[in-house]
Amino acid sequence: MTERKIIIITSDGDKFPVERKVAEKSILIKNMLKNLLPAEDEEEDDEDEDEPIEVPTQNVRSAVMKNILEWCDHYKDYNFPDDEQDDDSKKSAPIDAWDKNFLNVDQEMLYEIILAANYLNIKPLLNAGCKVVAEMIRGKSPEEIRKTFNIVNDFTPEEEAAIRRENEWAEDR
Amino acid sequence: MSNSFLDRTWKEIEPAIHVILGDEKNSSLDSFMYTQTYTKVYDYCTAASSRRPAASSVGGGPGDGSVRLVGGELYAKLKTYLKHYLENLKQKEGESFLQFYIRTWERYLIGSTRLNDVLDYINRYWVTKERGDGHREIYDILSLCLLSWRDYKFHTNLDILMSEIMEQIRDQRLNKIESIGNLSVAIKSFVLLGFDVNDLKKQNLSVYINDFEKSFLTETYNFYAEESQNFIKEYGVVNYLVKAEQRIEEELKRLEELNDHTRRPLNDCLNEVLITNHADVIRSELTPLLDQERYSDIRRMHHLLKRVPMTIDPLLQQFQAYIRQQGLNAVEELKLQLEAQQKEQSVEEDGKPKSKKGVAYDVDAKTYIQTLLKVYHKFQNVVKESFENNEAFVKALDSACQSFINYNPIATPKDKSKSKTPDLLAKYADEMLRKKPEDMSVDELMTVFKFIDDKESFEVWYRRFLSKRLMGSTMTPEDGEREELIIGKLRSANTQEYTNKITNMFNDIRVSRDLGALYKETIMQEPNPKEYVSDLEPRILDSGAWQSIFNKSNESILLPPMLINTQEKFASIYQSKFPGRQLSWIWNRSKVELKANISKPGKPPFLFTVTLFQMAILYPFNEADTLSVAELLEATAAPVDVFKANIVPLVKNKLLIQNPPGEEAITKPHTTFTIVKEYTSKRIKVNFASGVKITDSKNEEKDTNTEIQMRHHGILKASIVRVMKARKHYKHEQLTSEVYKMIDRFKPTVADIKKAIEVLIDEQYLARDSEGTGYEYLS
Repeated sequence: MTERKIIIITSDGDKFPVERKVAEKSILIKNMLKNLLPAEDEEEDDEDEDEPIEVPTQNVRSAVMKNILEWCDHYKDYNFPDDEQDDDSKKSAPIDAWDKNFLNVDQEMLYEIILAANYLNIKPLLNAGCKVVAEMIRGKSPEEIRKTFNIVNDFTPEEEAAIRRENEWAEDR
Repeated sequence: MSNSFLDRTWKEIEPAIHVILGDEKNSSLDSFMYTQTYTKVYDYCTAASSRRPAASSVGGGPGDGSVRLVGGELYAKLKTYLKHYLENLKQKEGESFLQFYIRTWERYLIGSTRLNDVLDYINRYWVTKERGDGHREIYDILSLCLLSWRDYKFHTNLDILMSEIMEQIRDQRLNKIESIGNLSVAIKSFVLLGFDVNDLKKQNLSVYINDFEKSFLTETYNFYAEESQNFIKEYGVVNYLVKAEQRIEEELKRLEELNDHTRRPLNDCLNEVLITNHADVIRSELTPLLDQERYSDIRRMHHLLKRVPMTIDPLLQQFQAYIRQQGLNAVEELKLQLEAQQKEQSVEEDGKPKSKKGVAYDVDAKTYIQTLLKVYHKFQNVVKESFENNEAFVKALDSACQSFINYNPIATPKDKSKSKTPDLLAKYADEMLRKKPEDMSVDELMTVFKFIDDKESFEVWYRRFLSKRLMGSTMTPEDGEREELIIGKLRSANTQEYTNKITNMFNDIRVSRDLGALYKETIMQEPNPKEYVSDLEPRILDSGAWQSIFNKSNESILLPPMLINTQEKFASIYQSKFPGRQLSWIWNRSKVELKANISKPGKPPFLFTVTLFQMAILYPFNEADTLSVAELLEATAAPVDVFKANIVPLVKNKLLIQNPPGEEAITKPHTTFTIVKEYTSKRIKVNFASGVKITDSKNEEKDTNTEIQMRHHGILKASIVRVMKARKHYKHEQLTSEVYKMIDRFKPTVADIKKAIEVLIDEQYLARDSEGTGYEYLS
């Protein structure tokens, strides 16, 4: 049986034909294919075997999808270990150099990639994106962080003092 | 939180959920519906989460410190929906409940798995978080679906479901339907319906075991209780063995359709209802089957019973008792046969039966031993054919054989009499070594030897026969090898010490040969060699090993003068070589070869082989042709009975002519004997010695048994002393049982042990203790 073609359709209607193993980096798509393909085999749908299967991804626009698929393509032959027990060591591991370079995009795009990774359930990409954000925060003062992410301070001075007191134990010394 | 958003979302995803779980039209799920449903749930959860009241956690309690995730409302709606969905599934017309259950379950399981993936976003964050916070009543979507099935579909219909399943199984057992393929779907559902609330991934068989397995086992038990009862009644045990085996095989095959957990309880159930409950009836067939030599049926019986080890013990006992009885029967038959033969012979000889007290009979050792072996070999084969040489059955065979080989109508005609089997086995060995027949073998000897209780008795008898073989004729090198072979086997079957005396006897013969050579050398250097007998074959024997030879050694005689030099010379040679040893002469074992110049003129002289006594009798005839009994007795100084025993062959073979003739006259003082002038015989060599009876066989048995008793007594004393030396002070019962266990070469009786203790007290090795219930060791 030749492999069925997969076409990912983005929210803005663009179509991306992809290899199955590239698409399956997304657990959402992988599960969907698992659920839909064998069932169709059994039911002997009038749908042709050669007919490509379309996967609508309602929450991802094509500019972001392009990036996502680039990442998926890069890792298509790599099996990520999926043991969740080892979380701590994964958290402390430095960001992969390729990922770091890949995620060297403007903040808006980075944010959208993280959201899409969450939506499509691509854990390694989600983790990498979050780590990049964490790197951006590390070692910065609240003022600097606000500046980096364009956040308006909406605490009253009293509230801020209370929070500082509470979190004193966590301060670096 | 906007309720309208929740309601709108639910409204949007509900039709898809219906399709996923399965609707009436069996609509199919497409990829658009799939991702759209997923996206709706995603949108609801993410949008609702970000809309939560900001920064409410400041200064709050510990619970508020954690992030609150959204999803619970959808989860609750789904839960309600599932109940509704399951309660409204419709049974089709003409469909049994079981069919309905299987059909909807198969679809529902697929739907639940898909739903779990479609609603993955709830699982991924909200459910994980809730369970992480210890909310064990929250499950992932798949588990929620299965639990709903358990509560609204399974438990509520349990009775009808189980009764239909059991009916199906029953029908299958009765061969009414071919396959229960579908049934395994239902049974597998029970496995999935059990949950461990703390670890959803762990298999939990609570539903399978409590709701299915228990009734399955009860049903199975009841079914086979009835069937086996009726089957045995109608077709008998032998057919039942086949049936039960077949049933067990079928049921174990059924295990493929069940969870492996059932393997043990099902095995136990089948074993009990098919085997244990009928074990007595089954076993009662063993004896008839053995009688009819139906060994493959017995194999089947063993094969079935061994599934329940505790049913084997009684079988072993029965088997052992059977062999023993067969052994006893075989010996009894032989005994009757021997008695009948003996009777016939005695009737022929005397014309009337000899005595009223049962006929005395001689037991032919070969026939006797081979009768025992035949039984052994027969059942050895049964053990192999029917019991796969199972160790326990080999042991039962050995125990049975040990019993009847030592105690049977021939070996122990009276209770508690000493077993004659060791004696007969020694005789068997003797016959084998002397006559070398093809149908006797060392292996047979060793097989029976293994079973003999009284190994001491065998050893004493063996030495007695060996002494005769060594003394009687010359042994060829091949004979010597055969003797060595047996000694080697006895040694490895017992101990080095056991064969010590036997080995020493061979050494004595070797040393004697050397002494003979030394004597010959010595007399050649004498100034007058003619004064000595040149060809002397001395036998210097150790009195311990050769005890039988030393019996009656007190028969004395006046040595013919021409031998006196020889005797003195040899004695002096021996004493100089082995100073300190005492040399006793046993005249009645000596033989002499004489050259007799009483042939017809022109013929070569005769060579007579005679005993030393006969020589002493003949010697005076060199001086006179006729001598009276009184003169001969004076010349020889032999006891009258010895004189008689020795002169009879001379008279019978017409070397001496007795006057008056007749047996009674032989010892009368005035009876005379005259030597013939010319002896006639077809052969030049004449053996007069072989006609002399040294001791009659009755005495031989008595003497040997006395020797055996002494050996037993000696071993007992040594064992008692050994125990007492270690214990210093010991109770009578303990001493008796320890000594009994210690001695493996024979089975002492309590009386034997008591006697040995008494003797040791007299000899002051032991003393009774003050309480009178034990003994003390006196060093």
